[in-house]
Amino acid sequence: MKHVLVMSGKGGVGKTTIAANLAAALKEMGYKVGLLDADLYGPASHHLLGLPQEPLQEDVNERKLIPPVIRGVQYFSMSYVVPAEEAKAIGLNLPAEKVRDIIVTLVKNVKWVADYLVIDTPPGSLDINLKLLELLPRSGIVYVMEPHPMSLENIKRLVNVAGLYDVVGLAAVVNKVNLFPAKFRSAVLDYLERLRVEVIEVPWDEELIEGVHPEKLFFRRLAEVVASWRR
Amino acid sequence: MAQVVARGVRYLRLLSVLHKLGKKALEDPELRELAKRVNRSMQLVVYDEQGVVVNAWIGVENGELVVKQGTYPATNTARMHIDVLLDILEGKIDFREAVLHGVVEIESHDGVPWFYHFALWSTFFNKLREKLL
Repeated sequence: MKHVLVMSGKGGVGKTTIAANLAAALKEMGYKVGLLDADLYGPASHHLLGLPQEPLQEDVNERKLIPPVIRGVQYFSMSYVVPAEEAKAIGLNLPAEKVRDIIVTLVKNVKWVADYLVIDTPPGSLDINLKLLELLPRSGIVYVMEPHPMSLENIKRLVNVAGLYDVVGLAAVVNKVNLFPAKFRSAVLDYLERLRVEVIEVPWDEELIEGVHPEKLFFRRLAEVVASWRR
Repeated sequence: MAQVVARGVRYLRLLSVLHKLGKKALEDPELRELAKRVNRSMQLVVYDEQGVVVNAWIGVENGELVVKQGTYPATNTARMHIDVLLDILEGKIDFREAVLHGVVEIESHDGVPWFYHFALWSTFFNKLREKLL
C-alpha cells in the first residue's frame, strides 16, 4: 500500500477538497483506496463524501478496526466517531502523547486494504504531521497551496521539514488560481519548478464545495500523477 | 461533614439514575446486540475528591449484556469523576466528547491502543445516549 500525504503549511487552502477528490479519482481509475482524515481537530471530509452509517467493526483475529466504506472508498474520520450534528465541542483537549496515540491507531490499527491510502493532514499541526512523516517513510506528498506569498512561504517551510524525512514530493496543487492576482503566479511557479513536481492548477469552483468530482480534468490528472509514482 | 454530605448526595443521585436506567438499558435488544459487537469489557472507576466511589463492570457474559458492581478483569478501564458520569447518564454531556476532552480517561489492558477501545465503545455509548434522551 502506498501512502499519499496531502499537506499544506496553512489551513483553508483546500487540502480536504484535494484529498477527497484524489481518493475518488483513484477509485474511478480502478484502484482500492482508503481516505484517512487525520485532521483530528477539525475534520471536514465528511462534508464532501458523507458519513458511513454502519457501526465500526473489528477484525478480531488481526486485532484491527475495519474501516467503513463510503462511495467505494475505505474511510475513517473523527466525524465518524462523533458525528458533527451530535458534537457540541470542537477539536480535542488531550495531551500531545494521547493525540499521537490516536494517529498511530488510525494508521497502524486500522485494516486498510488498499492500493493507496490518501491522508488528509491537519494544517500546521506540526506534532501530528511530524508523527505521520515518522510513521510512514517512503510516503508521497501532494502539496496544496494558494498562489500568493503567504501560502508560498508556508509551503517552503513545509518542504524544508519534509526534506528531513524519507518522503517524495509527487505534485503541487495550486488551488483557487482564479481568485488571486496574476502578479503572484510567477513566483509560485518558479519555486515549484525548482521542486521538480508536477504542478496542477485548480480554479475556484463553487461546485467543489459539495460532493466529490473525480471527473474533473485536474483531479484526474492528479490521480494519474499519483498512480504513475514508482517508489 | 460537608464533604461527607456532598459525597452522599452524589452517590444517592447516582444510585437513583442507575436504578431508572438499568432495567431500560439492560433489556434493550439494540444495546445488547451492540455490546456483543463491541466485544470487549470495561471496568468503570468512578471517583470524587476523596477517592473511588464506585467500581463497576460492563460487558457481555453468556451472550447477555451485564453491568455489575465490583472489580473484574476487563479489556479496558474508564476513569471519570462522579459528576461526569451523572452528566453522561442524564444526557447532559456525551461520553465520546468527554473522552476527547480529557474528562474520561481510557486505559487499555490488552495490548491495543486506548483509542481502539474508545472507537469501538463509541457506537455503544452513542446508542445508549439515544436511549437516554
